[in-house]
Amino acid sequence: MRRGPRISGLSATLALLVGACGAPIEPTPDCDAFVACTTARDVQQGITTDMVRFQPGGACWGNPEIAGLCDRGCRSGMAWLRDAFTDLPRECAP
Amino acid sequence: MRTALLLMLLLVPEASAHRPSTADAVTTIDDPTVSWVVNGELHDGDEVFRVKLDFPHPFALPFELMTEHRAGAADFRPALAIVGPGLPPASDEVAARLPLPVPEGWGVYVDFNEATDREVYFEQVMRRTMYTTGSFAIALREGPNEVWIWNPDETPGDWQLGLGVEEDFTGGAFSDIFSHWGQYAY
Repeated sequence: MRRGPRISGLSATLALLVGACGAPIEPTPDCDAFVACTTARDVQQGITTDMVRFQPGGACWGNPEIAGLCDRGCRSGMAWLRDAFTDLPRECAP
Repeated sequence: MRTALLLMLLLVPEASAHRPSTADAVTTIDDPTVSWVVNGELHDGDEVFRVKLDFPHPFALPFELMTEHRAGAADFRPALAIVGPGLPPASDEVAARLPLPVPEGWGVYVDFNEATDREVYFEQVMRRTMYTTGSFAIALREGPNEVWIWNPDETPGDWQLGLGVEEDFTGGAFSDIFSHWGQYAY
């Protein structure tokens, strides 16, 4: 599978060039809220959820399209959490 | 061969693509910690697709279910359920509408795709316009989880499940597009 590494290298190079031309995208308030709520629920449940993609520098913030997808996802995810669970920690309050 | 390589070069850097896959009735995602788009077709309308995800650790990620945005498919509205440990138990009303029983100790997130105002999304990799349930982020527990896709109206149609955001196109990731071209283009 020699194609894979070659494509990844090209992708990384072009991503670097594109990234150099645009301002970094910061996590949105809705994703900050989703991360804070999930982190607080993790403490309640004694687990650690991998949320790297939603955090600063994560894959969600590589370009505007994927940032929009993550932002909408965080907003919907928070709305669902508030509907689905009655024992959420205070970090999950609106 | 040259055409395929050119298309791959266009696909990878430009557009936040998900790694493509084509669904059988029961489909296992090898690595659910990278992004995927899983394409499926309800031939008869009454099938249930089960996408099995086995997470190495608790993992939060966005999902969305998409269908073709064209006149002939406007009424095709498949439903989606994410089923796994740590999710809230299904109410009796919800359980009665699910296509399969929820395993003991598991809960469910369900979207029956009944929203009056449907979100429309321009998918930049294959340059198609899609209806989408909308992206939603959800935290899932480690170990097995499943996504069920079915159509309560039991009519046929094509669907796409998108999950995750971390791109990984190593190992011939796009070969599935060319061997199932009819499901990726319309």
